[in-house]
Amino acid sequence: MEVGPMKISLLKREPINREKNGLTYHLKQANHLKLWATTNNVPHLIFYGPSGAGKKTRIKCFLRELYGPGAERTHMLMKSFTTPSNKKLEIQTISSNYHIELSPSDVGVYDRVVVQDVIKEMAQTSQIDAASQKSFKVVVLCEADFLTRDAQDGLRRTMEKYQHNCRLILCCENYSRIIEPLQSRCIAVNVAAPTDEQVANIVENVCQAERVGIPRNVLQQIVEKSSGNLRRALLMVEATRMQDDSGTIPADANVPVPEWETYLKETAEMILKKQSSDTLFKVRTRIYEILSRCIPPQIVFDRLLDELLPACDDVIVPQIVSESANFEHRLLLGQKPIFHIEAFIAAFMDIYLTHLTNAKRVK
Amino acid sequence: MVECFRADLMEVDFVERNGDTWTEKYRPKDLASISHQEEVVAMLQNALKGKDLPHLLFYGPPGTGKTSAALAFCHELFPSKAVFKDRVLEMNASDDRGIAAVREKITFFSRRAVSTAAKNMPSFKIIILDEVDAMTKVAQSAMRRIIEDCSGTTRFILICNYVSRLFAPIVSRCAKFRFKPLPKEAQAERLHTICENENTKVSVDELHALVERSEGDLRRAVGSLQAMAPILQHANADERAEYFLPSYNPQLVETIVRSIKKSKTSEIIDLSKRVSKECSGVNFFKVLFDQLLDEDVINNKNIGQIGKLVSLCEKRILDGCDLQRNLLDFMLNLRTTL
Repeated sequence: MEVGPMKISLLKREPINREKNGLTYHLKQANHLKLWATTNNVPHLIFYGPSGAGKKTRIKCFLRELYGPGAERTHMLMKSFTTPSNKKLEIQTISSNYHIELSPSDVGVYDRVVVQDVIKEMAQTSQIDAASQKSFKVVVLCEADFLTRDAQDGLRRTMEKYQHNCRLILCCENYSRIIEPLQSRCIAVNVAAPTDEQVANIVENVCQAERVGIPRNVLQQIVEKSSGNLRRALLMVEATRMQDDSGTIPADANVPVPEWETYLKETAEMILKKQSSDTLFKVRTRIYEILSRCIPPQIVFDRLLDELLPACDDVIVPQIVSESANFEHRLLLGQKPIFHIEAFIAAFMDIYLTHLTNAKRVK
Repeated sequence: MVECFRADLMEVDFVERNGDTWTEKYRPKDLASISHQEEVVAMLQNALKGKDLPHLLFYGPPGTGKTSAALAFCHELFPSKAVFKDRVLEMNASDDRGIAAVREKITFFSRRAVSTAAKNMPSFKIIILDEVDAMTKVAQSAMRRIIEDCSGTTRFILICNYVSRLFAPIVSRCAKFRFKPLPKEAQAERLHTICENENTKVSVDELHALVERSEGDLRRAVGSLQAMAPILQHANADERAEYFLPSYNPQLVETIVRSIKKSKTSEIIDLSKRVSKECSGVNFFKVLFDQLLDEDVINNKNIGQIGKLVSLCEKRILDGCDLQRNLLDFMLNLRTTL
């Protein structure tokens, strides 16, 4: 088994341009954003929604609406700062003349210092030439749900005090991890995942723009497998196209599934086939293999459950789900993912086997 | 050394600028306009008249006027700007407040003698510490001595959301005031005045719907009002009604409440997938729980068990777990319990 080159495809997404001509779904919401931008009435915003639903795209469009094409001329910059314990750290920022984008959670527990120093400093300095343009600039904070509590606390007063020359846009997946005081200061914008038809439409449009013919059944497959994640859908188109040297998609093309998914599926089958300590041992090496390829443990958990559940009797499903929820929680709190995944598998085997033997006995 | 804390003194002026958010524009500027916190306001007004002022601790949920009250009080106490700058030190979680900062800045500021230049003004300084619950334990305990030692020249106003997160000895040194969540009537009234000032036409019913949505948090209500103002101008009656609907999808909740007892496992799995695509986080749980209570699905008999379930799932989600799985877990367990 080789989980091999699944990382590379991500880098190759450039050839297919995403949403060149503005937003195509959640149009009503887009209109609201536009209204805010034109009336100089911009609240602090939190964009939240599942991965691949287009949060970043929406933020980019909003910035363009606010500041014109100048907001797209961005450059990367490393900002350095010093922690109270005199440790020198750097954080990557992407900025244009009007806005700056960074993810403070990159620096782990030191995100508090980023908020207290870097962001506060940016908020304190006012926009150059405020008369001819918007009086404020925008700070975009990505992965805001991974900010520590301290860092989020640090944002509270900064947001209020300097609101005349700085607006914050937070971008996150899990809205409930943003502390309540921040929620109260921002307007939440929910970017829900696009529906299947919307995904199909967008994929078709992109293919047209890129002059790639896409057969119906392939499109169908892609829409199903992407489950509302647009980024994933477009990447799959790309991957399918790359299978053939000519760069076209034949009618009978198979949409490639990432190899680790197939591998995980096989693992699930192993678990279902025989429940013994021997299998558990074999499964452990396989899970190790997957984790060592940088697949996030939570996703491993998700997939494993998705594969296992359909094979279970309705009676034991609640038990299994609650075990999985329990172990996922511990996985997040703990350090080594392998323990918790393995513990879940062992728990699953136990429940499954007991149920099977009981069923046999009744017969 | 003087320079060192000078630089940290932030501007706390109430200068109006164009394009200000309404939450700042309509922040109460004097004690009289702080709504519905009678005890605090009465006490502060007495202090203005020259009565004794203890160290204060304000606590309560977000958006109830804690910071506004503290700032308004200081502004009334020291009307002249120069004196205000000299006498008031405001620090919040956006400042470094580790043990070192407490030792240097706070100690330095509080030990400094009061200048006698300003006549007819009380002879003490005020330190406002916003978001004290975000300070470290060590820093908090370092404050104990400072609060006592400097009580001759300095009063502290501590502000926080959760009094339980504070170090007990600190709490016992202050007079505690709880800020109540604002009653709906008072909020609607406030929103109404803002609407009139801003020339935005919103009916009373709509305002009430808005208040309902913001759950006692006035700042959130004012924020959403401002965000909605330009949208509402362009909307017709039907669309307007839509904007004041609650933030969740009521149909989904309805389906869950009605059908949970009889649904098959596969149906529940599908339902949980649908919810997690549209909603996010704990909010949905709150709404679901309320609805279950209203519909009498949860009653005296099973509330203990179900309450435990809800709190477990909420905790997990707050820690960052997957919504779908926890929802599934909750619904399956709910079905079993019922």
